[in-house]
Amino acid sequence: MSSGSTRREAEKPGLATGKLRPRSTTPLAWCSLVHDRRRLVSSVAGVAFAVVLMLTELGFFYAIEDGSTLLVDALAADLLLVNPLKDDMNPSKPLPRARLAQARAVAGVDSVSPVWISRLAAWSTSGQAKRDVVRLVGFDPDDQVFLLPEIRSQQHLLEHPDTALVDRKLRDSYGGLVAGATGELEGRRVDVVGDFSLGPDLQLNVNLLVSDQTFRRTLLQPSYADSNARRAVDPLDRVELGAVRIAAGADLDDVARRLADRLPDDVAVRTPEQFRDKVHRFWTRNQPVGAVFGLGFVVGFFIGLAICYQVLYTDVVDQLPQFATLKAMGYRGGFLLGLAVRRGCILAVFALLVGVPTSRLVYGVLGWLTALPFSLTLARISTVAAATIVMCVVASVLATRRAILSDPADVF
Amino acid sequence: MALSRVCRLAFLDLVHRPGRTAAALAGVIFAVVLLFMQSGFYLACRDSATRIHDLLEFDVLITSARYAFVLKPDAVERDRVLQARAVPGVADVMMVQVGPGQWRSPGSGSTYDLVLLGIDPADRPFALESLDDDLPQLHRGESVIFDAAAHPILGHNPPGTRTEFEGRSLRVVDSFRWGAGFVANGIAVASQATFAKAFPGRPPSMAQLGLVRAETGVSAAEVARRLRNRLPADIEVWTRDAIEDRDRRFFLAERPIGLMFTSGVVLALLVGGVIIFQLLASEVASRRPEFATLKALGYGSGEVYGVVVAQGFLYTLAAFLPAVFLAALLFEVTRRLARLPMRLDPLLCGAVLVASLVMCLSGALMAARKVRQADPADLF
Repeated sequence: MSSGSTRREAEKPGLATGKLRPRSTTPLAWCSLVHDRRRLVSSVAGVAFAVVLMLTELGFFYAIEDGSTLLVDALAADLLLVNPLKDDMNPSKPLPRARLAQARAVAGVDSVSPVWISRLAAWSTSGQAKRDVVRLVGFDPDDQVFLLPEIRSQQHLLEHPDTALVDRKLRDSYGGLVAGATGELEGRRVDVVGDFSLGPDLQLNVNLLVSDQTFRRTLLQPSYADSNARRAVDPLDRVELGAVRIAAGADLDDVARRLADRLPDDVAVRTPEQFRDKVHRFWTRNQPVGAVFGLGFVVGFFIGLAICYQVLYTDVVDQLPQFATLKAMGYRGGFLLGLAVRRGCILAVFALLVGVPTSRLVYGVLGWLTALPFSLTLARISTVAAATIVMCVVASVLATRRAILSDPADVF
Repeated sequence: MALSRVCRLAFLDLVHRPGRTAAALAGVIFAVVLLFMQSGFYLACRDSATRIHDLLEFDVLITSARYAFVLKPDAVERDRVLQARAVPGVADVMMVQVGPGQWRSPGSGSTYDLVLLGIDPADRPFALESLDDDLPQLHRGESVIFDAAAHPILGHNPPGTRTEFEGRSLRVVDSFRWGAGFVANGIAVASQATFAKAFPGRPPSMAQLGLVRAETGVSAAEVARRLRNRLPADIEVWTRDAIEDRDRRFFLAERPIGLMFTSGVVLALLVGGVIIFQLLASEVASRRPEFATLKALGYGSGEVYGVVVAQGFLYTLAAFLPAVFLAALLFEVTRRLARLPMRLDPLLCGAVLVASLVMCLSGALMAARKVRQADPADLF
């Protein structure tokens, strides 16, 4: 790199051009950052790295949350009937099917569709030695329970007994389990007649969508009961979710209130948002993975702070003569502080401009790799943007301390 | 010669400004601790996959040929497996039932998944000596021994607690400490009779896992081979390594959670490398006059590069021990709070040390490029 000192010589008069007023119109913060392009690039890269790191950790955190309720999001429902204790998507807390019939009689309710979820069921593709575990989601193929057009256009195929639609999101790890395959589901021959794209959650692997009758027959297989529970009950008597659609013109709150009044205490009436929030809380508060990635975001912030401080500190040390000159010209510590804040903000903006698009790529790769929903929403970008600005400003002020405290006489 | 001179210089540089060195060390410690944590999570996830196998004492495992995963093992006829006792080299065969079901937390009243293991209280099927000793207490009906290291959502269940499993009333008679990691919230042990009441749909003549112990002096592989020849085709015989490999692969490579933690380790390596690069780069930048002086004195570029690399290594070595202590502390906290089977063993320490030195070497080589910018003519 050619000499820094000649550049410094050139800048001093530039800064001093006549304007000795305490308020300078020169965009000093901007100039002091962009004058050394190479350093700017490496500073921005450092901070952008922190932005990507924070967004990635946040991405994991929300991928767990969002991933835990993909099925709920896919339901065409205005209200949900669930077991009041239900807070995850495991088929652990069912609901008596009779409650759905009671709900249908409530004024303002257009239709109520049951959704059944199984525990782990065994699948093996014909001709392959590999055995996998799947989760069955059962519904009545006459009901329009799902929003996904792919499901709506293929669900009539499930009216044939022993057929299934497969979630193709995890296709790679489930080599043989694709549309067109035939295999054994708990020992019964089942044809996979189509596929859709939804995504797995963390606990269970792949979703097979089946008709209520296929669901019932599979769960009654001795091998299913052997590794699960209760063969005696009709599996269809225990419903996991009731999807309620209200009549056109009916008021959602009124219908919800009437349902809650009418139904006994073993059923809770929730909007899809309320239920989603409850499941999200379960995952992020009670499960180890939530804690791990929540912590990861905080760690990302501190790493960012450290990188920012390092970057800006080196920069300040190198520009110490310039800062000293400002002080010698009569600018006070407060001015230098303001300068530091502005430098921090500018760096943060640059870093975000680089970091956010980079994160988009990272999200794409992670989503493809894990089949979890990594989505870069505006709210998440805003969270990280706020964190980045705080990080840069704090680091910049800390880094400028040395210049603020320096004595011009010592520097030269 | 040059090497000792380089190291001496690097060392002197470090001790010259203790404050700055301390700050840089803190940065490196942070990077190493991050690597420890991410690798620890990865290993916890890996260990989780075999958490139930590890609790059981066996050399060879017999399962149904339809075994898919430890929580989805499928069942076999007990009597057919017990015939294996007659095979030469087999010391003992014990049957274990595996049943995931709903445990009612005595605190919240809500129910969550728990894995119930059904055993014969006269057997000693477990790898925990103390748990085997406690089994006779299960002769009393409707009683379980509860895993005290289970996830807190299952509630506080000290001996004497009355609660429900799969809707059947049960009493906790004793506890052990194990923890099931990511695979389940917790484990409880019951007699076959209690197990049969909790899962009325399951014929008591069926069980999921057949634990085979080999006689001393006979290899597990040999016993497995003999069993395979002797038992029918709908039964599968595994050595411990084979079954653990299978379940680990299933957990790490196929379930989203395993993929997530694998990418976490890669991320930590990247972050660590960048932190060390930043530290060394700012070190080099602030020492530019000194490096320029060295060059003016006739030191070759290689030696000056060497100083930076040596400094990086010194940082890493100095940071490693405190990082191990800090990691041990954080592992303990994670074990308690998140109930994950985090373990800090020498192998992990070795792997992290090697990875740290690699991170540091690449960081140092990148930072050392800045030394080239140190031209004596500019400075004086």
